Amino acid sequence: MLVLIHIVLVILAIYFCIGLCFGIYFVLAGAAKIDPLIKESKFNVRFLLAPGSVATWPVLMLRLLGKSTGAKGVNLIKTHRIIWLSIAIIVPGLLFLSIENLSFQNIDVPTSDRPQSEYEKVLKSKENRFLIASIVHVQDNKMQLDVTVKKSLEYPTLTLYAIGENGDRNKLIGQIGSKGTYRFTIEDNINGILLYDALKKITVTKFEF
Amino acid sequence: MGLDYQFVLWNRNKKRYDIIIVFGMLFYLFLFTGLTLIFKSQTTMETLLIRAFGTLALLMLHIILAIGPLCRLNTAFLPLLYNRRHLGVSMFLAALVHGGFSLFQFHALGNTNPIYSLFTSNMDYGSLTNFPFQVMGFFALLILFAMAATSHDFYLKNLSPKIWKGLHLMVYIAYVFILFHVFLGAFQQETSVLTVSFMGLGFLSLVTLHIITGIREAGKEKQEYEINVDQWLKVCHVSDIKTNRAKICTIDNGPVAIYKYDGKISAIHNTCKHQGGPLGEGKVIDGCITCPWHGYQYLPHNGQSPPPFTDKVQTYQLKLEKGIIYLNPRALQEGTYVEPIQIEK
Repeated sequence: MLVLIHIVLVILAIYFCIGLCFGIYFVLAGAAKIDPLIKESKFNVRFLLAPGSVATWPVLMLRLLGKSTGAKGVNLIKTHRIIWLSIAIIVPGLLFLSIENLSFQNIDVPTSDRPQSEYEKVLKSKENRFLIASIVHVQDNKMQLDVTVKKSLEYPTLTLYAIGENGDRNKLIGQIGSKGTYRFTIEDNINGILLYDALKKITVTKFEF
Repeated sequence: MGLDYQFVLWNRNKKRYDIIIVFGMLFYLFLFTGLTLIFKSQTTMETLLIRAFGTLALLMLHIILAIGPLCRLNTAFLPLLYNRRHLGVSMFLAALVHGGFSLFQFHALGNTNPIYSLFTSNMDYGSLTNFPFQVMGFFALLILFAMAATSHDFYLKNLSPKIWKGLHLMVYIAYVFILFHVFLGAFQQETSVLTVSFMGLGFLSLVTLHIITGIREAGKEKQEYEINVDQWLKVCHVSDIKTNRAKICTIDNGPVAIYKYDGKISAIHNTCKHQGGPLGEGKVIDGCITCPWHGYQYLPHNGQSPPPFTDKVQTYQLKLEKGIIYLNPRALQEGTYVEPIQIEK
């Protein structure tokens, strides 16, 4: 793929370099050869032609060589209709396929969600500019992780992990959406958490308790 | 149409529309900035600028693509068609600001060439979901550049209708690229349902508008006319045509525009010699049929452009009996004089 990208970029670079050189000639002399009316016009008009000559230099070069570039009087109403019909059919299908493949980490989002009244004891708590996270001891000898997202985090697929001993992603805890409080039952005490965006493959934030 | 080329072909109306475009753009930018600061106050200035200009360009592109069918459904929208080129160039400038800021923000601050970085920062070209959406925006911007750069009258005349129209038909490719640019970008950068919803609504509106117009026009093309003893076609009552406007009827030779003007009626071929614009969707200005696309003009009684211009279209004979217009479907040579039919009072 990298080779293909190099080829595309080199072609683009060559096209625009030739276009720039041709554009200078076209503004100074070429335009008047194609259309003598340009001689009657103010000189600033020629500068307005420069970007177009960079973009369409192969066609203009053909015109300068005296080649015809097409007949007059084209009627494209039917073409427009066919194009719109194609867009109406193909584009929604492609858009659907593009999100059908969207994998939000293939996870089972933990469902433990307890009312705050059942809290017994806050064991650990920490805060940074994105999150407030607390580990609380709830009834029945169970632990719960409370995570409050303080402001909307603009990442598409944020997942919450417990961090391991060396500070990397260790155990999946659950998925985080927009601003709000999320509660997850955890089996063991954890050292810290991190938020990971799997689509962009980056760690958004992490901290240790 | 002019005897020389102008930097920008302005008249009073065009200046008025350009002022509306500029103020409309500024209004949108201020509105977007205000709403963002209220509802997403953590947004950085760079992100705000990128999004403001990006959504502005997207909105303008939707308006531009809606103008054609709107004019076919209602002639009150024709002034927008006359000024579509300026709107197109303004839209490109908004898209350029969006693209320029994005390139700087995301790719110009490292030690890699920004364009190279744009193409290689996300190499997931094999995935539909993770496809590098910025590359699609880049190619869409290149197409919009080519269109804006060739919008001057010089290129309209000298690139040839085939090339110019072909180049400007690429707006559809740009539109599809932009749809995916926004759609994938919205999923890969943020989980904004709002952006995708607005874009989906715009897409649905455009497709519906174009399909409704297409069906209506296809119906008109299939319309069969009553034939009288002389093999002339009974078209319509003269009162069905508004003054200085036309009725388009489609016969075997193609569409014909029957114009009512100055107490008379005349018929010419509907297709403009310049870029194939629908002459029957224009109007009579200063005694000349004026093409709605680029203002090319023809005299109604002989289908010739007024001197010193030399373009000609075919003309047709008409008859008026008890207020009913009859058309001789045999076309006359391009530029043939036909005595206009006086409308009885």
